[in-house]
Amino acid sequence: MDIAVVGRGCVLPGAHSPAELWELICRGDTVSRGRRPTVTAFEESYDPEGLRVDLSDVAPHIRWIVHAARTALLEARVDDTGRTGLILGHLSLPSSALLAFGRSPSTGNARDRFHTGTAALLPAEALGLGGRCFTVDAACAAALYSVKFACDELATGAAEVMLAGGCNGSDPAFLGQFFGRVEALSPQQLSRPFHREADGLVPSEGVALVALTRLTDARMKGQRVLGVIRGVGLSNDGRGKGLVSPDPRGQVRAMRQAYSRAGVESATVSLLECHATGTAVGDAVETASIAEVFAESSDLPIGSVKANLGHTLNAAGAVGLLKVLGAIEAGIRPPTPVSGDVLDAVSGQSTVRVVRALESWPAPRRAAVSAFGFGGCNAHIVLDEDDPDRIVQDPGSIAAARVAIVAVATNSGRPLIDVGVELRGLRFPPNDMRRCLPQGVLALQTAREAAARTVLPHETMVVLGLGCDPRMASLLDVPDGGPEVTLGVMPNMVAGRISSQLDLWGPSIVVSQEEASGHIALDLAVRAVANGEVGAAIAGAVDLSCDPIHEAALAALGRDIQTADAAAFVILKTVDSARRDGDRVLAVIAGAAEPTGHIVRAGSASHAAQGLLEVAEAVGRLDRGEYERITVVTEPITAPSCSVTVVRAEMDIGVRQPLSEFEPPITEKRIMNIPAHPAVFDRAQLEHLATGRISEVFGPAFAAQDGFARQTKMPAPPMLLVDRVTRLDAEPATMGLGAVWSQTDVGPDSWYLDADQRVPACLMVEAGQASALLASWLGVDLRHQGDRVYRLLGGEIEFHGPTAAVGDTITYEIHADKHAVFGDMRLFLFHFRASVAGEPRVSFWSAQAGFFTEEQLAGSQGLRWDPSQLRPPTAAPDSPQAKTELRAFGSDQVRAFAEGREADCFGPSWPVRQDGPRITRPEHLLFGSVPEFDPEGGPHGSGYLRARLDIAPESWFFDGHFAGDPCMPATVICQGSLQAMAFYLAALGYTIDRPGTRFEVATGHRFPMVCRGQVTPSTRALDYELFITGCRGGAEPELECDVLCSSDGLRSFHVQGLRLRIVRD
Amino acid sequence: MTSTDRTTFAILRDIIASKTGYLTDMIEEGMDLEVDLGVDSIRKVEILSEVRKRLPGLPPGDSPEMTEVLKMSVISEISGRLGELAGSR
Repeated sequence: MDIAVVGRGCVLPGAHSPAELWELICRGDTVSRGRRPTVTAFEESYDPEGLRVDLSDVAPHIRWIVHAARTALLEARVDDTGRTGLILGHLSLPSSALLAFGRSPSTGNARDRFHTGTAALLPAEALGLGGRCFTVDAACAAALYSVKFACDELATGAAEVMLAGGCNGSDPAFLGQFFGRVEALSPQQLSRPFHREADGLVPSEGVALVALTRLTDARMKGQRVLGVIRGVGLSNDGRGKGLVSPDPRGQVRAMRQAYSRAGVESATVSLLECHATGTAVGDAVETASIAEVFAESSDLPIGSVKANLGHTLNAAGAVGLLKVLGAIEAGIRPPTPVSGDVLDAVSGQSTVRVVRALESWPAPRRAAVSAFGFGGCNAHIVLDEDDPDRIVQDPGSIAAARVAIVAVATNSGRPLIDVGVELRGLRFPPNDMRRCLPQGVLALQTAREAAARTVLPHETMVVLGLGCDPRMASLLDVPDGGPEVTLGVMPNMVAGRISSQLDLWGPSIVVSQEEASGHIALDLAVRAVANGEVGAAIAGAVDLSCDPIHEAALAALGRDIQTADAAAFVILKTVDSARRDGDRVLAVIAGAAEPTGHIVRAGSASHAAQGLLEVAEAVGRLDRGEYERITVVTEPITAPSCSVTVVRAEMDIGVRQPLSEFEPPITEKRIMNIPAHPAVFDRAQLEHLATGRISEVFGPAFAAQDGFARQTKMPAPPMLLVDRVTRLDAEPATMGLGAVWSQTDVGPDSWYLDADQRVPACLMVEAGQASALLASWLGVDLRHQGDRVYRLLGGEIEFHGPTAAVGDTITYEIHADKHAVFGDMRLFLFHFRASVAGEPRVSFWSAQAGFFTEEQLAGSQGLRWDPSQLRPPTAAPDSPQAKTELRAFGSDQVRAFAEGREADCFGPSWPVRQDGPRITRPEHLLFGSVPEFDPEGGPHGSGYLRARLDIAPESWFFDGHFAGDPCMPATVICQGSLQAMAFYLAALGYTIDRPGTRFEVATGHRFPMVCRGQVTPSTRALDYELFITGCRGGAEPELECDVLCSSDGLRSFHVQGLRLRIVRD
Repeated sequence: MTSTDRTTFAILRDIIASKTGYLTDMIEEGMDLEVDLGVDSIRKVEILSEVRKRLPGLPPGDSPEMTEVLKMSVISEISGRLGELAGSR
């Protein structure tokens, strides 16, 4: 259908109105020459009179948008804005204001956190726009994408007037770093499109908008028609030549599509405004595409306004549009000011020539504008001078096909710690993925999971709802790396990467309307599929809302929201295509109507993604037969509420197989875990905390304790087992409660690995060391004034599965439960759970730590437990698999055992073992001799063993635990107890002939552990006593006992009912 | 495959793994660097210059032979050609 341009507006360097822009262009001004073009003296042109919102304290580009929109509406003579909308091409890169807020949430303006969608929503609020308003990011092609979606909005009758265009108000220093890494910047700051010696682009800034309406309406209302949009083509390069190199095939697809939709021949174009930014590669690829598409042209005058203004990025396509609208109005083709030689392909030697002086432009005037962007985004628009004699017909309603949801995938968490990326079939180097915005990694993985459940044609659209990650600047500001760093942080690349991975050629964009972003994405996807513009669409939304900056903004705005992380994806096809492709129709999208059926109010826990997450879950509920029809309603705080209704597919439109039959075949997975959030404290900071000034990591609130002799700290390396703190939900120095999340990466070189390449069981518990960090962060030392140290007093250990292996990342979630004071005792109560890839592996329940003075430690009376309290065994021990006559083992024998030479330990007649379970690496052996071994010993005659460790001051477990305050970790004492238990099982012959097995602590049992004395470098010996209460043979032998450990005779450590098994690996 | 070919492939595979982050055992001979592993031309240059350090006897990076290798994309082709080039010197 024909859409009329009826208004224009802009705020650009050197031009605050379309008239000023046209004069600047006709004069051949080059505002970019040798310097960065900026919008200047704008506030003199800006008039806040009559705005419904005070915009004086928001980022300046918001006022630019309002000014440009007002100019356009004025020219269009639109008084009533109730059915006017705004779709704004907007880079979801951070503005200076958002960066400032991220650096200091307490002093910044919280509204700047939401700058992505707000760039459309806030001007809409100020101007009282009642139509749909959102932003679209397709990198430097975005403005023409916004024009296309605005045309659709008019075609469906949803709006009467639409403002469309683009804005770039990104932080200039950020942009410098951003383009510097792709080596796209002109070192001389010369913007020279088509020039032989062009050496890069010059980033510019500003806003350009047009006001659009249906041509029939414009005629009816007598509005002046500045141009008629005949067709817009949008495409993506797909796999193409990579995310940063343009591919002529993708560009040609967009151009051909525009002419096909317009129903006109490309040869009829008599002015082409190119994307041409002055990069050698970009200009060469574009001229090649032009040569192909315009091969039939006899004379094609071309130009690029970037020679005048530099590259306005997201606004670029709209600036080009304003230029050709000016040319249509004046009947003049304006010059592109490049001095010197242009590329041969556009020098006029062939039919394509750069316009280099003002020339008259005879009718009929038909122009085209191109805009291309990183991430393979291509757009091309064809427009005509209005011909009042041409008869236009209102197309009426478009016959839209029914749209089916054929696949769904979600990933969510509160918070999500890691994103597990399947490496098989991944078409991006894993090293590059580690440089990406975590929301991009999560989106790609979730989209792949959805795509694996169906088949997608090349003509598939990708549209995602998301917002600017406030951490983007820190990902860009890294010392090394090239293009992959820039590509990693580009928000539209989140969509582009999916199109590239799956080789999809349809439009690939991100959109934002804050909480309603997912709804917008779904809506655009449904429309494109229903209209047959694409063969399928992937609609998604992603938001990692569990972010301190995001949460600070919510708090500052008084929004009480429990945040969540989520990605949700649905794949859409027409019902007919789904049937043809053999897809399972999970649900059908209902036409726009009032909310019906079961109603779900989405909330905004996972900001941009919550709405679509609820839709995905609703599809599951329909599929399970819970409801026939569900409407998901999202009520954004700063935008109108929106809803989508999904309906259970009828039996006749899809075979209703169980979902499992559609699951992709299970193959061996190779997962790479990428943290979902940047570390709160990285390894270097944690190491600094162990030995350096605490305030340098925790901040000035902790300066008072920098000089304290004794503080609560995590160990220093090597005993520091934590690699990063990923989240800290606690107010510093308040003595309140809260939680900390930490991670430990288990690598092939991790020093603590056992002989079976796993983490020793009790070191899994030890690695929950961030409990001490949490106590410190909450301010225990500020209260204790530096005379107390941290000691673990006990807790209940429960294993849920095997210990972590090489390649795993263990995630700890540690909660502070209470600060307690009893007389002179100061206690900190907590609990934690450790998981690997979401599976719980060990919990530490009811944990207690104390803060002790030197006198208190020296005066410990030890623990009260003695062997008379031992519970009797429930069953007599099974008879051993082999018997040794020996009842004591010296250090040579114990070492022989640890090295796998069992006969040298248990006697010459001992059977030679085949690859049985291994107790430990010899260098980590935690006892040196076994002075007593008696299978009939102990209070109940059910077995007894005593092992001894002579303490050497240089023992490995003192190294770093703690810096300046060495003591043996209670968890390591517990590990020594497990080793002694393993020895006991071996001495009964249970390790003989058990290849492919290992020792494992029994799962599903809680083992209470109590510590009341310490082992320090001055301790002479540590004795372990095992009081056996159960010993079972069979396929999985198991030993159960109480362990009592004494430090130089002082009963210091007790574990009750500890169980060790030999299990198949 | 001869033992020389095997060595060339092993060296190439190790370098690809270290430059991209893919696990060594996931990199197969029949794979296409661009299509299957997403290695772009810039990273391919990095990989080949590393190969030149590790595999003696290869011609200079700007030689016609190496320029020709840079245009190849299937790992076995690259590895085969590098083996020939290294062997001919």
